[in-house]
Amino acid sequence: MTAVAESYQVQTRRNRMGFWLFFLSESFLFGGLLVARYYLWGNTRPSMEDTVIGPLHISYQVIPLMITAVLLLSSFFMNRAEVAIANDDRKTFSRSILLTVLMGLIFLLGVLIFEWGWKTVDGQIVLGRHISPTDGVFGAVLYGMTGMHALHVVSGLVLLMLVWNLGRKGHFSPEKHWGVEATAIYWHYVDLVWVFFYPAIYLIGVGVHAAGH
Amino acid sequence: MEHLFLVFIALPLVVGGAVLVGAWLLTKIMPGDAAAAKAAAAAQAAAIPAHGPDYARLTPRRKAALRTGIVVLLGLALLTIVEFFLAALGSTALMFVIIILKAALIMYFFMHIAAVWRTEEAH
Repeated sequence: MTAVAESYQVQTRRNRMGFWLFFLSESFLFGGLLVARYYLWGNTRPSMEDTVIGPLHISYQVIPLMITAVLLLSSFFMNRAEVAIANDDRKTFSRSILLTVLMGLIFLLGVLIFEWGWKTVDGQIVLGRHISPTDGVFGAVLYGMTGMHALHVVSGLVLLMLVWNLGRKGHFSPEKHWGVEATAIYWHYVDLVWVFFYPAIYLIGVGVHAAGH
Repeated sequence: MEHLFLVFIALPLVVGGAVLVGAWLLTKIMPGDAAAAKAAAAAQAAAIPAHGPDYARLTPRRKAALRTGIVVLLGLALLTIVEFFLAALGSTALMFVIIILKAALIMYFFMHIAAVWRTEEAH
């Protein structure tokens, strides 16, 4: 092993450790939001009416489940991209990164439209907020949690596009691809946070209509 | 006051501790096999070129990594579905167990937390 390759490995190990310390500091931020949710909401959570689109009757719970599935799937494609670049397969790397970005965008739009731009009146979809940030503890915590997570999704998407562009230009090799690894770990971290947020926002507690809270 | 203590001190410590213990246990149950990976990499390097399309298509390690990715994805999907139905039953304690399991799966297999303690590069 050459000295240069060895020093790259040593540097990567240090980078990894630093990155995990960064995640530890981030976990205090998201942990604080989770604590706020459990303290302020207790055994309740904001809920909407079920929605009717034409002949379809969509349960309130189904859409968050779908966007959660999309985010989990995006993590799989990110993992696939990382494996591909570690094996010098640039075509699969590029396609997998783009699929990850696409699914990240679907997730982001899903959360933004579902939580921030859509309400139901008598079961029908109407544009507008079903809950606003000023609607008491429900609004404040909901926007705090989804907003902070969405901010991380956006920054993850930016990183993904940067890495995709660098890969397209021929950067990264099976031996040296810390940039891809770091972006992948970051994207999985976004997924990890959602693993805690999804049940806290949509599943745990009794659903109540937020208006008036 | 006890409620405040529970929410602000005990809950983060219990949840954070459970995630860390879960990840640590996974590293013990399935340790990063640096020696075996090094031997496998050496064997591959001897058998096939280090770069190029043949390398990309043929490596068994890559197939194993992709298979692991699919299995983890299916596991996460299954746990999410179970979590969804547990919510209808109102079983919050079991949901927390599932959350911890999902977090451990992501941290171990996707985020490669074991690599932080690895001394050899066995990516």
